[in-house]
Amino acid sequence: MKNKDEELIQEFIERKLKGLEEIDWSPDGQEDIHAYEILFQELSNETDVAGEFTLADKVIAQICRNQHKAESIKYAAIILVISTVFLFITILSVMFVDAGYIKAVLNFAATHNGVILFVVLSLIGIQVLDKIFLKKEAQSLPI
Amino acid sequence: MQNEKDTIERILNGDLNSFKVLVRQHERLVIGMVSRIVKDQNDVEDLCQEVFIKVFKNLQSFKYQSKLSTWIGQIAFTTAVNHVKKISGKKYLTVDLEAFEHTYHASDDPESLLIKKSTSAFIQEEVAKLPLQYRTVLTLYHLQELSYSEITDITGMPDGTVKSYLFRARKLLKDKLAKHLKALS
Repeated sequence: MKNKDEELIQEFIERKLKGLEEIDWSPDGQEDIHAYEILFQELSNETDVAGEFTLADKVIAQICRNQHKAESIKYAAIILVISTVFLFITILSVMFVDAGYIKAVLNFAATHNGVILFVVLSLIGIQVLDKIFLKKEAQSLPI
Repeated sequence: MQNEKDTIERILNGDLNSFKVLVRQHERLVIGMVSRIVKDQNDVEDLCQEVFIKVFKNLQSFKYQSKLSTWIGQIAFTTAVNHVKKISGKKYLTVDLEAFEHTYHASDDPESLLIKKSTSAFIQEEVAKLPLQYRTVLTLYHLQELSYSEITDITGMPDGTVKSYLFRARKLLKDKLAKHLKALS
């Protein structure tokens, strides 16, 4: 069969299956028409794989994991930067600051240890509350 | 369109429920396309997830120049094709279609035609044997019911090529199916 005839048959079957206005043409070759009809119907059917897994749930779970991972990396980076700065300042202090000043600072810390303890505990408390809050928010996500 | 914009706005503001709805709306498109391009079904699920993760990450760059489904289709197509390239170790996946069609016709094995299997299974097997370009065009046109211009946008193939591939793929399958039906009767 010529390609032109094949094209016309394909168009003929397509319009017929879609319920469109049929073209004014009576094709020959009933076997070909029958094969095309079956083929077109089958090509519109989903393969078995579609819908076998709950894709949306898995994607959302993966996004939450990624976001949590990114948060952890950010948190670790902040800790690392703070630690490095603290270490750097300590080294600079030991190298360049007069021992008398350091002794004065240490004396201040020893006499006001209650205030320092309060500040440290407050910072830890904020961090713990933040973690608990984030955890609750993550649990409420639609996974 | 406005509804689509609202959904995207909500997702960009961190509403994961809206993204879940978006995934459900487009999963048929993505699963259908990826499963036709990638033959190993074990990889299909991972790739479909990867597609939607990319959609989520890049949603702020979507400029409404096409339909959202077309944009997601492009990502699915590129992801699946890149996976096939990676697996095959080939930089390009061009196939000599003339040579393929010749071999495809010549590969008629009378015994395999006589093996009783459903027509549906037979067609799906034959579709899987086709080159990637043919499989993609068939899936997007018949399964996803996309227009020629939408297929052009997704695959980057010219309009005429899409029409030509669709015609040739359907003709190849019809010839095989006609022989199969004859053998069954």
